[in-house]
Amino acid sequence: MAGLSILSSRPTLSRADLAFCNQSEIGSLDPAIASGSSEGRLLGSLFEGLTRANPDGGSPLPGVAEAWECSSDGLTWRFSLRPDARWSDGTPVTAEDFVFSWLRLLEPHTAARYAYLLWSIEGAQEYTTGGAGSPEGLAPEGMASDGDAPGGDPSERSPPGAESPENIAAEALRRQAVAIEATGLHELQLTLKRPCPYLPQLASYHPLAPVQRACLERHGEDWIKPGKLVGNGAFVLAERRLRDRIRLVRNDFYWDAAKVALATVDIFSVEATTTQLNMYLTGLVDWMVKPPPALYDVLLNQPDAHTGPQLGTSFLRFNVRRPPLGERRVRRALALALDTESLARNIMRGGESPVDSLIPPGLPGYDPASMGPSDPEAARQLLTEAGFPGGNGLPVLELLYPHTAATADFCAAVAETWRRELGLSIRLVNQAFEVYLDSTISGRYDVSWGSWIGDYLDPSTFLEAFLSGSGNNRTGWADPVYDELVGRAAGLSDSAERATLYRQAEQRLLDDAPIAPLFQRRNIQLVSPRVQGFVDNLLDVHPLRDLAVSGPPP
Amino acid sequence: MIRFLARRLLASLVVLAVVVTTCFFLMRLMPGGPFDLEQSPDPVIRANLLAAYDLDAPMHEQFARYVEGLLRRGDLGPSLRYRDYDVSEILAESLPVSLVLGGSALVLALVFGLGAGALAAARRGSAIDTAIMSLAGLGLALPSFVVAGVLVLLFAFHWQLFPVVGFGSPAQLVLPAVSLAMPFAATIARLFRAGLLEVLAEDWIRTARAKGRSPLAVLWIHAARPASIPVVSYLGPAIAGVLSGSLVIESIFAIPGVGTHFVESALNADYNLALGVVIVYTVLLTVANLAVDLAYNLIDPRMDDGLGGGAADEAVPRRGVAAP
Repeated sequence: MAGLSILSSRPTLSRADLAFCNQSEIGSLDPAIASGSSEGRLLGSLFEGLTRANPDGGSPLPGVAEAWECSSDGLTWRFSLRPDARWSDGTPVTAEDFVFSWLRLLEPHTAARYAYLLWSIEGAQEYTTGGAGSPEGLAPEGMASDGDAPGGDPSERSPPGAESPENIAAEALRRQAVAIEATGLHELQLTLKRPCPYLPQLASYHPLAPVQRACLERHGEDWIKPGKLVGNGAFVLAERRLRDRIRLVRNDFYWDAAKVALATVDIFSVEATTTQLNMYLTGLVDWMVKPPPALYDVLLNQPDAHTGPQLGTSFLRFNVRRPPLGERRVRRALALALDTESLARNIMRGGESPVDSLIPPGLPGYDPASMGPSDPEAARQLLTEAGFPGGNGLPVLELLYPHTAATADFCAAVAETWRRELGLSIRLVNQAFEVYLDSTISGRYDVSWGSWIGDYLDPSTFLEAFLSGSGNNRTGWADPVYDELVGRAAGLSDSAERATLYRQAEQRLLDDAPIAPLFQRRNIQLVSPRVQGFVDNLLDVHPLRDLAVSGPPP
Repeated sequence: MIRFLARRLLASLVVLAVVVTTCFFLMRLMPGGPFDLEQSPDPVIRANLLAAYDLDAPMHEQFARYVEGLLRRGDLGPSLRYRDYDVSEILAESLPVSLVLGGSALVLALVFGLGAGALAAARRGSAIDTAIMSLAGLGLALPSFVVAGVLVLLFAFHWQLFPVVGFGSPAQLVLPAVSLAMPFAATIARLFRAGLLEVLAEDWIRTARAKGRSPLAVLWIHAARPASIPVVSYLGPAIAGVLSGSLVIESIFAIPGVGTHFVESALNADYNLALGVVIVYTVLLTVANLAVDLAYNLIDPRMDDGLGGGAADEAVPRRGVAAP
């Protein structure tokens, strides 16, 4: 056996200063390509944007930019880059690096999922979509390919691969039209087509971090491999073993390296929650992100349990294209019949708090709208008014959910509540996550489980998901007034005015009830007491540069 | 012999072609695509993504390009889920891990399975026989996640003899290899015992005994070879199964082998990776079966049917081992 193990020839790595279990293997180390929360836990440590995430989840801190200012109309932003910002090969990070990297993010060939984060910049959306941008300038997901927009149907567009001279020339023109400019070695200027007050926060997000042109050109698609990757974050990539671990070591060229406490960090990709727990309990890791829900009762009472609210809600989607769910009163009746308080407490058991809004509480400067408290009596009355007294005449409804233990229990309880309170017959349908996604996207369901986790601290991250053209809406619900309110708010630079419009929009959504909000999600993780600087926050960001450990690993 | 090998090789290539073709189209017919996440990408971005991976072309064109890449350059394409990797890089990282783990498990299963089977056959009807066969029954009946869980609880937490997870050191190999070997050892023990009992009742064994050979010599020199035919038949699919990894064992012990890719690549609609592991499994299975057929000739020259090995197949129905 010992002889055989030579075959695998992997040197055993020593214990890092900090080791943690990241839930799944990351999709990519390329900040423009990566998406997902596992990726987010480490990419900000390899690449630093103009700003960087605040370890307490609050307003972003200066990163590569030491200062920034915005014109009074909210449309011109100037970022001053710190002169001592360096790549991990020692060369300086300049404004040109950002121009290169952001154009790369927007470029159609890159096929970056998060390209839309920059679409508030003049010309940006047109560059990504090959001129198919919606004319009124609002750039929520899904709006771009609205059938009415000229050339909006992606199938009619020439594919990015078609490299006729005209296409290349047209793309070069669109590239030049993107209003990202290096006005000095360390001065970056952006011209927006609509205000984006949360731009500094977006700038801390990994897709907007810079990549080094020289490194990409030298190594081609292998540039993300250990030994080749050049970053500008607090750490550099030392080792990567697929579905095993990623080792980071401190970047000595990082401008703030003196304040980085950890010399080495190991990031294990382990999917199975019990295996993660075994690793945590035996001291192999100091932090794990998802303890097994079956053990919540035992684990969450321990002092090392961290259970903070998340910027995310779970809700039910009603497919309004399917009768009788096209009827507003039926949808509201279904929503109001649910005792979300008891469902959250008794079924979720992770300390989830019930909500009656899409946007969870906790967004600075925003007070969520409300659907109203649970009221089975009012629900029965609504159903009677809609012509279904005591549930008579209603067809059997399908309640679709992805197969995980918690959602299965939750949906069974929802079905039972509707049966008891409204006399409905519900058929529970569970599908593998990918199949469930496909079913909800293509509208093959009556009622379905849904969740939304915000990307940044602004109401738009939630409300734009329910615009009529958004691919995340999935209910078939379309309200021009809602679209108009959300679009108008996006164009405002005054934050109080914006909040008022967003709140009106959210209230409209809740009154019309294409969704029934259930509870605010929580970040549930175990963190060893030896880890210092770990602060629970809404966005669940824990920059590795701000963490420290005390004493040797157990 | 050479004609036999050539025919088998040709047949294997046909099998591989059929498997690749079927999987290629079946996977693309599944609901869901590689780029669907909870957050839907903008349709234009989605179109860009599909174009970047050539998934927007008509299916027969995609197939033609895949086959061309495979035959011309041995190119299995990029992974659609692990986008920093090509499928061949993923296999190069994970296959050795599975081969080491599976190889160790196979050795364990053979040593313990043959040993226990022989002991049970030699002491037929005794308490030892009953104990071994009960254990073997248990080993077959207990799912590997239960066995692995109990082993972890006892040997990693209670006695702290072995590491709880990981791969690389011999100590880390013990618990997963034992868990993985358990059902195979149990099957081998039962098959070998049954084979021995049949052979030991033969006239020529009685002759050997009458000539004064010791019971041990009769068992291992005269009876073992013919009695191992059922075991050898079973080993073909078993070797392929055990070497291509196990999702359950890999996930419990956090082992970066190829078994997890088998399941996850299909769930993630990572078409290229799924095809890559299917090709690996098919090749393993074909080679293992070929080796088994060649082994029949060595074990019992009378079975030299030369062109196909059908007689052995009929004599001892193979126990199919489903893909892991």
